[in-house]
Amino acid sequence: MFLDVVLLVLALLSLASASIMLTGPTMSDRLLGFNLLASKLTMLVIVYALKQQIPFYLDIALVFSLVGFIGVIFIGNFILKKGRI
Amino acid sequence: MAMIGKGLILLGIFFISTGVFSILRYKDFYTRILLTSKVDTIGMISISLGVVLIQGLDFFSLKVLLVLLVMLFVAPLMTHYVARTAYFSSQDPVLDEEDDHA
Repeated sequence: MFLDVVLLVLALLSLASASIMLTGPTMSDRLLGFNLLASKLTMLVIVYALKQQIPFYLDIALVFSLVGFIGVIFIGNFILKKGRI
Repeated sequence: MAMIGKGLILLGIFFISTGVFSILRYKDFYTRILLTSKVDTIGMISISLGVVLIQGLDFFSLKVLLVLLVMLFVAPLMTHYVARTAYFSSQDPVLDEEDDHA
């Protein structure tokens, strides 16, 4: 019951981060929203793995955090080189 | 021990929601990234330690600690790269009368 409420709040915060990624005024705000979304999804997967008691879901959390890192680095390079990859 | 874990998880959710609401509150990008990144890291540490305290020491909680270690390396690098991108693409800070620190 407690973990269900925690999962619901984390999902709402992830939706708020995704809305920042959609409606940020500048390009860097959208990148910041992606950064927030990656970290919140990692925490959501950790709490979901605790609720289901399956330790192999934590691999998904690890992959989420690393994929968020790679995504931020690539989009940042795309902005820094002004569109030329 | 489980009650302390639940309290830590609630504290972490409070920190993370503070970070998200501070983005809606302030308009300047540099203020936003300063307020969000530190609070997000603290919430991450707090939620992971709460999960470890609820579960107890076994394979699951050691794996949670491994994920926490990787995220502690990765999250400041992400924040630094976002700020570096904004600075070198010459984005100017917006200082209105509401959050004027100068």
